[in-house]
Amino acid sequence: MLYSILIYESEARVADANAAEQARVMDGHHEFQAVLKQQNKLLNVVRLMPTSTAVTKPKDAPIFDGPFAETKEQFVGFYMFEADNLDEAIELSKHLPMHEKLEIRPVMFYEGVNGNGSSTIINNN
Amino acid sequence: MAAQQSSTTIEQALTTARPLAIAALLRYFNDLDKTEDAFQEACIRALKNWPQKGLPKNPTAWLIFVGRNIGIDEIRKTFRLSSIDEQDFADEEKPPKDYIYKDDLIRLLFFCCHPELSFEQQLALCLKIIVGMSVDEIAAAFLTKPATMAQRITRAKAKIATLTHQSPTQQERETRLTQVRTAIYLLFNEGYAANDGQNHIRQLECREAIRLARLLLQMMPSDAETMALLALCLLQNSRQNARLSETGEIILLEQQDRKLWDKGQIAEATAILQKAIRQGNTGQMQIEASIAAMHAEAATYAQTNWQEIKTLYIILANKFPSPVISLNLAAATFKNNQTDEALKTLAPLANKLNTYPYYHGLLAEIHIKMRQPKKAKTALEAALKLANSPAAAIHIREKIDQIKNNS
Repeated sequence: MLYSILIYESEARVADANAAEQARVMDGHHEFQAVLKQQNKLLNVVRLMPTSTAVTKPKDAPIFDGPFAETKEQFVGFYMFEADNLDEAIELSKHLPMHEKLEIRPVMFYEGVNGNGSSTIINNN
Repeated sequence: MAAQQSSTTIEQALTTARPLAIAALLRYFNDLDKTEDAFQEACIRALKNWPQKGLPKNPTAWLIFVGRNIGIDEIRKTFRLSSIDEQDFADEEKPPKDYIYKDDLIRLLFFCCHPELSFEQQLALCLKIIVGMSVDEIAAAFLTKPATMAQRITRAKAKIATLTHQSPTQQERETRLTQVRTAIYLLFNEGYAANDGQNHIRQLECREAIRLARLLLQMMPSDAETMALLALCLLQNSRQNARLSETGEIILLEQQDRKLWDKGQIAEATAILQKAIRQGNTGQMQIEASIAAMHAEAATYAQTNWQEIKTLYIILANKFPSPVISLNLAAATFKNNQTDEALKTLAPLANKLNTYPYYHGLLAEIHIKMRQPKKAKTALEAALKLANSPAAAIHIREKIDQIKNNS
């Protein structure tokens, strides 16, 4: 089964973090990535830019600057990876450093275009 | 979250909470010293409480609530002496709701960047009050004695206490905002221009300026000039690791190893700038950020699009005329291989920029290109007298030696 881990974090905290704190968090991510790569389970690593770079298009209004709602934590990035079941996905997620919130959520459909023009499709629909 | 909190996590939380907490407390007390004291005391209580109990859900709200109560206790003590009924404070006992802190923070920035204060005072206040640097640290950053800096801050605070702080009108607000943005950019520049790689606090100034720019943008996410301010700071800051040699000498843009530029910062700045440009009204910060972005875009110095940079400087010089901008226009014109036109742009600046080292530096470069070593040497010697750092002086001396060797 393909799983995603959606990461939520306080952007203010990320921006204020000192070098040691940043290194600690990055080390955790590198460890997670290394474990998954070793088992050939990692599909995607995505880190988003701060919400200040975003624009939002609401249903009934023109595009405006910034993310839709002001919340304490923001969606900052996600992983996609293979795991046999939810237990394993949770177990793997323990390699990640602490964040405000991690959401572990199975993926219904995935299509990724590979470097050679072919695509990887995983359909759990 | 684990109950046990490491001390770095707590310190980090206090740092992050500080600007908003101070801003909200200032609303209650309307007095900088009282606000700082109450925040300080609240932090001490946090350091006692949080290690065992864990971080509160909203550390900022906790600090505001506790700080406010501390302040009220202080007022109570004073009032008890003058025997006034405690009931007067009954309304204040309710815990504060989850405030929209925006206006508080903007008000605090307006407070610290009050137009009646000098720029030095504004920057010192921002660092002391909003960022929370110690007087010693700020003094080290501005290369002054701690006692002098303490006095500067005390005077600024005294001045502020005499001023009114009514909410500015919409029009005043825009002017004040421009001042706030300028103060943040100056703070960044203070740190950037003087950073010799030795003085760690200089880098702190850059960091804190970027932090303030981010905060301001959070408060007004649609403000194009604030976007541009953040972009500009990030673009300059991305070159931090490339602009000094190991021995602290300045490496000019032309010689910098562009692999050392921070691509993450450049990418973020570019993304924000693109948003700002979409709005269509070009302010000063936006044009300056666009110029910085042109440099960041060029893979090598030779690939710099001087034509476009010159165009941007022409827009800047028309909209916001100043001798320094004209000087930069002359430099871009020269780099665009229009030597005669560059000299023409420089000519009227001779008096105004006589004490400005870069003026003489550019003049020297032009004369070198025109094979006029005598004139070049005179200009370099003028620049040397005005050099504002040992690293810059070394650089100019090298150029003088080169001319001597060639002629």
